[in-house]
Amino acid sequence: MQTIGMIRLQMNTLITQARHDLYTLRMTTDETIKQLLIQRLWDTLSSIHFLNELLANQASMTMPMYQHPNGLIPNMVQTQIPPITPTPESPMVANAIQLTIEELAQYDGKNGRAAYVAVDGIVYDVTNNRAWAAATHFGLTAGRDYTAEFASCHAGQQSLLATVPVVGRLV
Amino acid sequence: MSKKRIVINPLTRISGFMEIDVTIEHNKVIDVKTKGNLFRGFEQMLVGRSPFDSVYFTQRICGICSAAHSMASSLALEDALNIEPLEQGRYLRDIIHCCEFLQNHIRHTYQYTAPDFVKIEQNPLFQADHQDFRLPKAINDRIAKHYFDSLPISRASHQMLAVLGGKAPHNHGVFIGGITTQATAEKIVHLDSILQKVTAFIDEKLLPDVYDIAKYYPDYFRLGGGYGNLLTYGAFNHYKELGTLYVDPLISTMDTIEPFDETKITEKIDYSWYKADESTYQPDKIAPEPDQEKSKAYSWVKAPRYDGKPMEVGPLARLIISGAYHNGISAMDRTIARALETKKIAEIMKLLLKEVIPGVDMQKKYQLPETAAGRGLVDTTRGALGHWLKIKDKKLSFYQIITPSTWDFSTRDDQGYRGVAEEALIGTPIEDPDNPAEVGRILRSFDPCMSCATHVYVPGKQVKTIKVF
Amino acid sequence: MERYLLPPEELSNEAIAESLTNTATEKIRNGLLQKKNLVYLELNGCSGNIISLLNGSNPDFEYTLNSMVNLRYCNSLMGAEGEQATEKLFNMLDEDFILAVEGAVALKNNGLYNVIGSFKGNPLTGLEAATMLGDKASHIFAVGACATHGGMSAAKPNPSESVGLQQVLQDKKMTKLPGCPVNPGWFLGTLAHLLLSGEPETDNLDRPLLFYSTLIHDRCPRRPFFDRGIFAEKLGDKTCLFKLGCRGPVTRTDCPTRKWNSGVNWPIGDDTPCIGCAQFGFPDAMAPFISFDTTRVVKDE
Repeated sequence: MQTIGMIRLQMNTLITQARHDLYTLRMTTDETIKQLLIQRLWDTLSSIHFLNELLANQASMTMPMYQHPNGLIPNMVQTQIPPITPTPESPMVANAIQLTIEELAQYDGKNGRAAYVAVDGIVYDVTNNRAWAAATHFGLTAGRDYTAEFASCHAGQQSLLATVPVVGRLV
Repeated sequence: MSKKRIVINPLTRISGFMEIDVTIEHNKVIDVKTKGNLFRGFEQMLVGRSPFDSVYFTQRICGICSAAHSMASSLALEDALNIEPLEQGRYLRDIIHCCEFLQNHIRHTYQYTAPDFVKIEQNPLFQADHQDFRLPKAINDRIAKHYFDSLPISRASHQMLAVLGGKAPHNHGVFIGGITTQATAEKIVHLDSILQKVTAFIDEKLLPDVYDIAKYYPDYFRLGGGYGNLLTYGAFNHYKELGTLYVDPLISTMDTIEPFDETKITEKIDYSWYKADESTYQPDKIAPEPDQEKSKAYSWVKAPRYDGKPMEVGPLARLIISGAYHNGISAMDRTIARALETKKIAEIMKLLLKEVIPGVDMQKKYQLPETAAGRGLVDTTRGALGHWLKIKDKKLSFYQIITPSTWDFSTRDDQGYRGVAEEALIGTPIEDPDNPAEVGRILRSFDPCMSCATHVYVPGKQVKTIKVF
Repeated sequence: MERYLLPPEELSNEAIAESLTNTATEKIRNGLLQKKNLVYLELNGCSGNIISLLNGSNPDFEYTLNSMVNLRYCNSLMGAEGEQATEKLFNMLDEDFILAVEGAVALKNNGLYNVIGSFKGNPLTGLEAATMLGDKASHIFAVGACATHGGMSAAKPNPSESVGLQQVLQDKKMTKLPGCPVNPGWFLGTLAHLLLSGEPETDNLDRPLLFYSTLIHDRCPRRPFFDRGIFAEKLGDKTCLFKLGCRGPVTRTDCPTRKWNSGVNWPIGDDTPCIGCAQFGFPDAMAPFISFDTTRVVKDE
């Protein structure tokens, strides 16, 4: 479990760096810098590929199959400390969770169910996100696709998403 | 001498906005309409919200008596969720309620009532329009000074409220089951220490001041009487061990006192801008639609009735019903009753504080039923306050509020009854129609809270009249 | 001139506000500053902000009245009533004054849902008063949630079509002091700053940074519980109230240090969640206030 968390963190760092590089690439007019950035993006991509394979191996060894919400047992007793910072424990890309919009709706953050939201096709876990107290955020409730809302309220703040654990894709 | 119309708008030194429309003939009031001047529509806003949120939400109806609404909504939720609070929970919640009484009564007496009778020359803001000031200079100046001395005392009363309630106005402490936090020895002593100062102020300043005002304005014992029907839902009563410390739910009409029966409460809308299948209904049955076309209607305030009769509510009603006051019903009696009640409440609070056991946690993880209904009836600072709610699919589906000021400032009805405050003004001699001191003095004796009385508005038709009252 | 070595000054927001007020009043006393006129307008709301202002200490309300401003109009406190009162309001148009507004502006039916008085026989709406006085005021304070953005008065379905003050005074600069009610220190401290050294520095939403700069969450005494994931199950618990719906992580005020009612307590100190009353969008964007069914721990797959 610990390893998976570490890999995820590394992946997230790389993704953030790649985003930043792409942004700079779009803005800069300096040819030399462009070359450098493209080179670094290639490197980043290789690293992500490597980490992805590693993650897939780890996941298949340590984790049972992904369970549907009706299989989740609500655990009301505070037996262990849940993670706050993004140290994901959810299975990742290799056996990526694919959720339909109906399935997503079940993750409303109530009665033991996790709180998920989708932005641009990616499903994020906001169960313990500090801006999502009681699985609500400025009048929005968890379990829905908020691509439009994110675009209108957090334009130019894509980096916000980098700190939120990813759980899968919306199909 | 012909008829003359006097309009006072705004009636200042009240909570909210009120307009008075008085007709006088031979310098006597022959007709009167009291009208509230702001609308927010809380009952409509509450539909669809989480039932738990009603406790904090309804407090925002009123800035000066917000704790009252937290009391009524908590009681209504306890009724709906079938929860009986621990006795310790009741004590602590009622202590918060005591603090609200102290704050409200002291502020009303000095900041709202005193400038009617006392020349406060420290600041031009307090300058009155009329010249009917009768107190000897020494007494006048003493009470004027107490206007300012009272500010730290009412502030301290809210401070006590915050010790248990987190903040004031709009406290977080009153909730289902009692209060949210637990009492500690430190908090009890903190409260007791402030209460001592407040009590000293009541004894040494508030009561003597009010009696001095009464002495020099004795005609106000004959003004502002009204119907004489009194009602209370009960206050600080039915404790398991302490019994009733103040007053039980009772009705007083024509020299008889009988138990209060909540099924006899109705609301009437004959002269209010609403329509419904029936113009008289029980509060938990109908939330009427607005209808500004109604020709005879003149107000947004509805007309609650008990057994068909308009009832006066408030400190004087409680004191008379509980047998602690016998002088009569008038504007001055109301002002004296408010001061006497302040003393009474301070004593009750002292008693309750002695019963508090530190460290009792009265909060639980509450669950909402799919459907339920409940009501919370409680006497608060200005009188009888009722909240009626219904829950459907774990959300609020119905909310009805009848505030004390709705009782006292209601419109007339199909039986020809006027509202209580309207009736109280009938026959009042007006000395100077250009600067009528009498009207404001009588109305303020009720401690009107128009923020409360006119919270009700259901959206519907576009209003087309020029004047909205 | 000899310089004395002084102990370091306290730099908490409260201490700064208090020293600002004291400096301002001292300057007024020494004739360095002119007491300014203040018009306090109550519109569509609960009049809870004026009650909160009466709860102020250091400076208290008496002090404010005697040493900082000439309060020229205030529905809750003034001696005059009826047209005589309204006349005082109209007279202000020829003078220099600071305008403080509490309550929202009701737009429905041309503002007739909130009539604040009558003048020469005609009703004076909150809308008319706000635009008329806002146009002439030297400085404007929007006091409390209803004035800053509509607040409670504008809660769904907003029957009175209430809006914040800025919406009817679009081109006017104003200082916004959200809160339900406003903490007296936020209002009186901002007023003191204005008298002493002009308008205080504000954020991009016009809130004085002095009081509204830091997330409650970042200074919350219960933050260590959040970081360890120890959450309250019910009201009255002493741990992090996040799962009950605490809006401290999205609300910027100095509540954790200033607290309320002369600092005796605050909502989180009362074992209840912050309901974000000083956040724009309150109450709808901050609801639900209290939830007991939020997932605390997801059963690990």
